[in-house]
Amino acid sequence: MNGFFAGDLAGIAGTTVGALVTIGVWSYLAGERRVFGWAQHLLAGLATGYLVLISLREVLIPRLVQPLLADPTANLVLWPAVLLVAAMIAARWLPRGVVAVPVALLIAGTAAFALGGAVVGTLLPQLAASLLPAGANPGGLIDALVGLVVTALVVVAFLHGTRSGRLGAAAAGTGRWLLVGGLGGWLGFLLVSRLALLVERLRFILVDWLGLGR
Amino acid sequence: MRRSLPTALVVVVGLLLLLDFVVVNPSLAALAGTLLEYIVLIAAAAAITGALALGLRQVGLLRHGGEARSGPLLVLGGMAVMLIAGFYPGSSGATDPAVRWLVAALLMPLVAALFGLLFFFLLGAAQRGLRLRSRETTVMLLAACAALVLLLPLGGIVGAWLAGASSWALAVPIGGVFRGLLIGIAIATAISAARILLAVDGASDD
Amino acid sequence: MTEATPEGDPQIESEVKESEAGPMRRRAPASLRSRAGWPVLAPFALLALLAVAVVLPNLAPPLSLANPDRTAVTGFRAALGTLPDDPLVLVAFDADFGTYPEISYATRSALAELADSGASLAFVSYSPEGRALAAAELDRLQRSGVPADRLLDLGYRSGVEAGLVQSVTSIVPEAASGPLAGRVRAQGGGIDAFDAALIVGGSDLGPRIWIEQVATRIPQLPLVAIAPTVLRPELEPYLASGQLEGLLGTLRDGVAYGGDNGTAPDRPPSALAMLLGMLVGIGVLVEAAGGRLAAALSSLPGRRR
Repeated sequence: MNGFFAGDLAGIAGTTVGALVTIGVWSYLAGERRVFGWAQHLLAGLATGYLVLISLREVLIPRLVQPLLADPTANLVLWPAVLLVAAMIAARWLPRGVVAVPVALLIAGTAAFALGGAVVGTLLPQLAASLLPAGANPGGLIDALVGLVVTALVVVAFLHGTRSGRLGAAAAGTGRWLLVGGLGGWLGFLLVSRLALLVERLRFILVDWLGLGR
Repeated sequence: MRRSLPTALVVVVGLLLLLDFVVVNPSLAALAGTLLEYIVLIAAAAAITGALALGLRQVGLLRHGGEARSGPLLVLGGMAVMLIAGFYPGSSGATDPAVRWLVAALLMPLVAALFGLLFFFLLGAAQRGLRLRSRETTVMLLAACAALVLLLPLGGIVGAWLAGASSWALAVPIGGVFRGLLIGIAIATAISAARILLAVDGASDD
Repeated sequence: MTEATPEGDPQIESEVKESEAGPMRRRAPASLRSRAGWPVLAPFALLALLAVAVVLPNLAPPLSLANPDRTAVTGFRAALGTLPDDPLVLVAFDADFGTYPEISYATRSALAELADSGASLAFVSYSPEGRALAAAELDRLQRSGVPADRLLDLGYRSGVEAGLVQSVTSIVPEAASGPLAGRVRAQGGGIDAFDAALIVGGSDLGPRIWIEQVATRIPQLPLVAIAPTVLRPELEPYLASGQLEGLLGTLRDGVAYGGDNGTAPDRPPSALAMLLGMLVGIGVLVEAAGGRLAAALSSLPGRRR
């Protein structure tokens, strides 16, 4: 990616390797499976290696190993963490009941934060924002009204299991079509996003690597 | 419903963290802080667990695999190269020049090139989807088409009009749909999380 | 209206079989082969077209990648404009490798503007990819001349939401040293020590999670975000509700922002290439959906007679 390399030899080598890797991945378009497969495997290896690297060097070593090695008695609260971390890492070889303890902590944290965040961070503020603004001009009021109707119908469609009667069914059906249209709009944004990446990669190969059109 | 230590842990720890979110209390905050530290450390350990599983699987494939050994070799090689760059004596880890070079020369281009390919695949998928589920897909593709037109990078009067229309579409119809989606997802998330925390359906049972 | 169903259609059945076989076992995506108007050379023709457009200078003034509607840029700049002198800005770097090229122009412009205005920048990441990109951007900023004592690397925090919530009260690692780390510690050591947070999103751990987990705990902290186009619709409700104070959420807004402030370190992407690619996309979608629509209309009862 441009901007991440200096103009030295390592930078030139990095740009060349990056360009060749890009061409290798794109060879899939020509039906070349082997190079594409190699690229996928290399990606999996590098990404996993990086994850291990930062998990060890930036989390486990500085926050668990080093404090305990420096002063084992001053950090008593970390000793249970040693057991939990060991149980997690050795999950493959330990009984299910032992591994379930650290997993339970992860699930508890995820559920608690999801619940609090969804209600206080999204549900309540978005319900409040759906209301019609006071003192808006006629144009703004119409927009807000349209937005409110669209939102309400989509929510009804989303929670379709709770609808009752023909009116509810009709509202849910309309909401479903609005949802489909909204997701279509999002697909348009997604296409632009992916096109931007394609153009950037081409620029990397042609301008940064080959030096064309500089 | 089977009750067990993990279920009890989920309920107690989850409710405690939730309580700490709504109540300001120093003792509770200290306890929640310790639990948070454990969760953060366990999450880092989980990453290593996953890497171990992947590594062992690749070693197994290498031992018993037939001709296709290049894949496992590349996975293990990639892991090894990154770990050597991050752990050689004197390495500064994620900020080390060797690690940064591997990331910028290999990791980023690999992923960016894959994502770039998605433009072709999305268009192909749109065409195929049309044959499988026509009415919904037709509406979806027409909406996508409209969004693309509104986002065209044009200047002048036409460009200004398209940009204005694009902002309106984002704020009113698309914004309304996504607000509805966010509200719906928030309700569904809250219900699922509450069921886990209250052990209603044994989702967290051992 | 008659609806096409997958059953009994040999073409579709073959596609389903292909998709079940997985991408590794296919020669090339079915859609790229000589069926349904996608001749085998079409992707290469498009690549060649885009390549020519990328190399050519932006020819015509009617083309403008910068969004003529400056609402987003104005809002983003206004949010950063309220910062005090010598502000302390937390850069939450959680972009991903796949989408970062799209937002790198806006991100680098914003970082350059903040650095020029005298802000001190602290980088933190909650995703591995974000951490890799943050390390690369920190190095780039140092090479571009931003004083080292105005940059702080807070590293990677695991645990996703748990790591984020923990950062609310404690974000500085034990090993971090220097005047900037000391300043953050002196002001409490958590996220509330900062005057604003700039969220560079892209992965799952983006602006939405920040709003849900951080803004609910520190409501006075201004949150501004830079995100790829694909996240723009999802973030619109948060922008409208004021939970997000500023957002550069499309390539066009990013280019408008970088062009306006004049601090963009890179050349913006090619407007001509984007236009050509989008026109091709529109053409393919119209051909696909339009054909289906025409077939549906012609099969209406009134038209059959």
